[in-house]
Amino acid sequence: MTSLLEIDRLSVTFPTARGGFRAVDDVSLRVDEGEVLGIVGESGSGKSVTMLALMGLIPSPGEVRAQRIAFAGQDLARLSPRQRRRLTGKDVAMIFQDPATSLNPSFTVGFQLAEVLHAHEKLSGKALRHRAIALLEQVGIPAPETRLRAFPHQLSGGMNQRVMIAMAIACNPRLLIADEPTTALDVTIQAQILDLLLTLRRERGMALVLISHNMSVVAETAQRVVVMYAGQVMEQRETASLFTAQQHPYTAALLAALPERSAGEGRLATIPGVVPGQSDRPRGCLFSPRCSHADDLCRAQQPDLRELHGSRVRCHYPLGVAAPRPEPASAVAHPADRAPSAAGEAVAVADGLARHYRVRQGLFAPPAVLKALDGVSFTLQAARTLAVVGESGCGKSTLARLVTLIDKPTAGTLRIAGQDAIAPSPPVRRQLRRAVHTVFQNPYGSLNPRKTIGAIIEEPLAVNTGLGRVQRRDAVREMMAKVGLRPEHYDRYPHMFSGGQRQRIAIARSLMLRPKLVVADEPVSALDVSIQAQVLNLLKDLQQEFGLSYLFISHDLAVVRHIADEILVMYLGRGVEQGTKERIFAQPLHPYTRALLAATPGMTGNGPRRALTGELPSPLNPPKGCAFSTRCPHVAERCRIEPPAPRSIAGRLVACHEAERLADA
Amino acid sequence: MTAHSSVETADAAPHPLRAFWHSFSASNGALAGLGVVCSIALLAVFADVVAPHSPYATDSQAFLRPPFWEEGGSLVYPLGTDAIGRDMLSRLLHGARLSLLIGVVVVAISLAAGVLLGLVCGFLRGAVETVVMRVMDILLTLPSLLLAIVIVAILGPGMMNAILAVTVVVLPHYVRITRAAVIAELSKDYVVASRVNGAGTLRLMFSAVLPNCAAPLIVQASLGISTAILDAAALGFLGLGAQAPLPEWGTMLADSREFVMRAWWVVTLPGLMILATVMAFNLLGDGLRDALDPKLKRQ
Amino acid sequence: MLRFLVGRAVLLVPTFVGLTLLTFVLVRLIPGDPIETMAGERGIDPARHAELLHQYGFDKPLLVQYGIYIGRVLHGDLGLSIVTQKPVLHEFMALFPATVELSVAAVIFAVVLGLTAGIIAAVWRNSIFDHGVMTLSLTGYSMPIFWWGLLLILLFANVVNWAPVSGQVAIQYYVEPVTGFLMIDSLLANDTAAFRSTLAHLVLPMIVLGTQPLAIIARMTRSAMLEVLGEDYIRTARAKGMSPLRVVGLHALRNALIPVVTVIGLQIGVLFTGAMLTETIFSWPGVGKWLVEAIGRRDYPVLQGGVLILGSIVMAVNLAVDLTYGLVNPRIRHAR
Repeated sequence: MTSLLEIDRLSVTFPTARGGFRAVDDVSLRVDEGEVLGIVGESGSGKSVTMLALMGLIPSPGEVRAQRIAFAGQDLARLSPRQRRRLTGKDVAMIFQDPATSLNPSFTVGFQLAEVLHAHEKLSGKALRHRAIALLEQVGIPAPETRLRAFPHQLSGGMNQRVMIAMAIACNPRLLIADEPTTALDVTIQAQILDLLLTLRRERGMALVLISHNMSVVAETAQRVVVMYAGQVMEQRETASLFTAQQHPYTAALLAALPERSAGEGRLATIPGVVPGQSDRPRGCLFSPRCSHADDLCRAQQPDLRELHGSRVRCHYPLGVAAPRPEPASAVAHPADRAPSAAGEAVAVADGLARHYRVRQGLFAPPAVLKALDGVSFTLQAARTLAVVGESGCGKSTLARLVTLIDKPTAGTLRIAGQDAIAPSPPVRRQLRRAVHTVFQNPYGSLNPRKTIGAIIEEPLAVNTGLGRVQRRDAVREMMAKVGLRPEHYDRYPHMFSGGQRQRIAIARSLMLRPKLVVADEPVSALDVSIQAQVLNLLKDLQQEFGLSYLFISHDLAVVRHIADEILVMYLGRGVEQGTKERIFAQPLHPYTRALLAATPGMTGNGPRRALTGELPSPLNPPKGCAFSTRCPHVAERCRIEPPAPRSIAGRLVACHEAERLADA
Repeated sequence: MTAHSSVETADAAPHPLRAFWHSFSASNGALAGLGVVCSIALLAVFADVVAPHSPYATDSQAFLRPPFWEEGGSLVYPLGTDAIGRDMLSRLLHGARLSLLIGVVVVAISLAAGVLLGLVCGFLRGAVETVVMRVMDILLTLPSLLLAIVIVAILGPGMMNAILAVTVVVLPHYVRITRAAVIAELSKDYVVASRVNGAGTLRLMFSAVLPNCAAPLIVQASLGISTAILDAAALGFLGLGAQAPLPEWGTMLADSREFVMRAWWVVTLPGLMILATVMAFNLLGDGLRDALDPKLKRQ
Repeated sequence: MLRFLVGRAVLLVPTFVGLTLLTFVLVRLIPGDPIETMAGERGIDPARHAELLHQYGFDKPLLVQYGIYIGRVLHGDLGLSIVTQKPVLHEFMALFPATVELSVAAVIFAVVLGLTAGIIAAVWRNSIFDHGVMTLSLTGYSMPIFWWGLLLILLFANVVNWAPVSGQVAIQYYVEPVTGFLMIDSLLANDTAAFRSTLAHLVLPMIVLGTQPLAIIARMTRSAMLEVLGEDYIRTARAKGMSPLRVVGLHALRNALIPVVTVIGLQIGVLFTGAMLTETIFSWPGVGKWLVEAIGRRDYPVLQGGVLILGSIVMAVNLAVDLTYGLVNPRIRHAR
């Protein structure tokens, strides 16, 4: 059988001031006709660059070298630029991570789609229009005739990604490369797009290369997986045996760090350190500084990619092969004991919290009311974690702003540590400020770039306490040690740190006043899997030590299942289901909770996933009855008229008219 | 408990100042600009020592004497003399003093006032902001030289009034930049974090926001000196700025216009000085921008 | 789009009011009362002085006076020039076409050369051409244009003799004013020799006036192009197999033009500033030279009227630029 695509010893180097940076280092892989190949790796692994090199899209100073890149038997190096252009976009097509920036904002969707058809198939006039409409229909865009005239900013992210897909499949490519096609999208939309890609592949028999940082996504879609690390292929195998018979320690460690694969209790296995950069690239195996199995041979000599039991692996001591090798040091999780929580003490109690905004719609139109948060209640006990789950626009970040006292609610009550937190008297306000702190999602924006780490961490003390300089410094150093920062980091600036370390700094800052409650707004969603595990472990450790309560905001159910005690699922500004983690994951009742779970890869075993149809309604113009009624598979007549109130069913609160029926079913 | 010891190694990045210098000195243009600015500044400071003559001393024996390398020139007056026998070189050197003074004073005043107004607008928003920004819009609506002329027409010609006029003309830029930067910074997470810490408005203003707005302001200040020098010279050229016999470059050009055909040096040299100084400050400003703003550096 | 337009237009009202306040205050702040100012150096006898004060309403409260001023401005009455005793508006209208002719020529010169140079410099980044364009551009916007004008005069009058260095047309031609635009009028009169003369006279002032905008446009175009060329959607266009010409000339340029159009619009103010200097140097009979001379003669009504009209024109042009911006940027066009 001949391969559709063969890449042999590909390297991509970017010149820098301190010599060249190897983004792709000696990569060989093949894609067979009609197969799905997954490429996984953390950021900086070179997975995207490899495919950009194939497309001839490496930006100008980058240097591409390969023994051979052949597509359908044709050596790409021998093609003229013109011939190569005829191939790209027609036989090989690619879609990218962020549909919002990948479409040209100045041209209509129709124009951008027609351009491909015109360039490669010489279509024009009516025939072209019909093809364009047919394509938009195939990728599931409603009312395609009118959408042709839309500009990208008028469509949602999911719709834009569908347009990107339509452009990519316009000329019936034999190979479609999807570079993190769902990463920028909401969970339920992610599932839709993945399903669409797989359906199109089946119908058209094209090969699909799926690049992703998400192991579960790849595991559910691909037939073969290539694991990349620091520009190299570490392992290449059938997906079926990925979870059972990995041979490279990196693959094994990466899988062990996945929260969805942990039992949900205890610590996650972590990979120490970070992906090597340009300056600290090891001489031997690139993974050796982080590998618990590495010995002197690994550190001295780079292993080759070799065939082993039908897979390929780049390791001196592949796992599962009987050979003498060092025992792992401490990479495996040691289950931690849960601290007995101070039962009964409520750290935060919210009742009917609402935050409405007035939005001006124009110079003369009356302002509309945006209900960012519309009546949310919860109770958070001491030393417990309440996870708030939902997609973008559900109001979870607004809730975080209210609880951290940055914003005031327009209705409802909020008590923190027994004190009224909505209109506190000045002394109470000062107390509250010590009781709540926060950790943000983006570790790059949350630290003042002009201040040293020491100054950043000590600010809460400087503002709120009368401690002297020396005392503050000692307190900061103590906290830095607790979160795993070294003393010499004290005088450094934020830009010198990686994302994971910045998150440690932010966590240290949040704990300086020994708060009772920490609001963590997507604290790990900007981090790579191995770093994410480190930070999640740290959060759990600190919770035990300080008896902290977390309001943990996340869109990632796998992370939530790992860290939460209780869960609040939100949709369009309201809580739809609320209860203990065990109950909700064992038997979700609300159709939206079910849809979220079904859409999250790795949560439902390897069964078929059912994607939720439709998109989030505009919060400016929400549906009249139940907010979820426009997308609900179980919708009844009543749901469209009357908004459901939260009721207690099967040990949790759920806001659904049909909950009893669903509980029995 | 000790949190687990698996610490990622911090990338050994240099101190911000050193990083700044590294990236600044990588540009030949920026270094050249800095060099020229420094030498002009030195010449201006030591003009009394360096200049061979007094800038006001006339020599009735030497009207419109050409530079030394032309026929009829001599090393007594290395760059020749003007229409009433004053030494060009000495006048140019003392002119540097005036021009730099004008540039620095204008930028200092407008920067201070602009930053203050911009901070107030960015923090308070509401009615204050609307009024201030509207006034700035009006100032920006008028062609800069016309506005300067209006102000000089009210106050009367002269160097101090010209400085004041140019200050008012460039003020809106600083207000706008500061306000935009403040609003951009205020929405960032680290400011929110500071708020959660309980920091008050003043602390936010001067500890969190202002240092992070400094980069665009430093750049604008450097570019602003060149604008100020150009505008003041233009006013001088129109007879509205520094008055004769002050050796201001623009005024010197105006005085020598009628000799354009007879004595090229009286026209060429002051203009060349303006061009060189302004170019140097522009190069310096561009270099600062590239070094301070990593987003623009990539271009 | 209509909302956007109306919104922008409404914003102009306070700016215009502010502008009239400024010009109103201008005459107030000059030492001496307005009648003395109008009388100029000739002086005026006290009885006539009082009569005039009353006639012009200068004895009424300031706010009333401002109302009177606004009323007259809205009726197109900008007062009389002290020197010529002709209505300021008439003088302005007579001279404005010459300024427009010069400005339009300079804008065309700057936009055509600036866009081309900027685009090529961006595409051939770090080439000799790029470095050349950037160096020339730096020189251009650092250039004191009054000196640049003198240099060109020096060169063209002394060394080579390609183009005339003074005036709008050679003295021997008389062209009957129809539109006021000399170039158009000479064509209407079918006087090719005069037309050629106007063209020749236009060359040097156009270059001098266009130099700064040219430098700024070239620089801005280059950096806008470089920024756009790094965007994701350019990568998408390449991935679709579009030709380099199409990627640069259509996908990139269309987006790069958005900031460039704004910059071109902002050059109108720069242009009027430059016109005052350029017209003075080249004896170009436009409003710039007229205003500069008015200052010399302390002709305050002319200054007051001229500032008001030029300010209003800049406002109108800025509005037009905003609208163009809306046209090239669909995000604004479809804004709520």
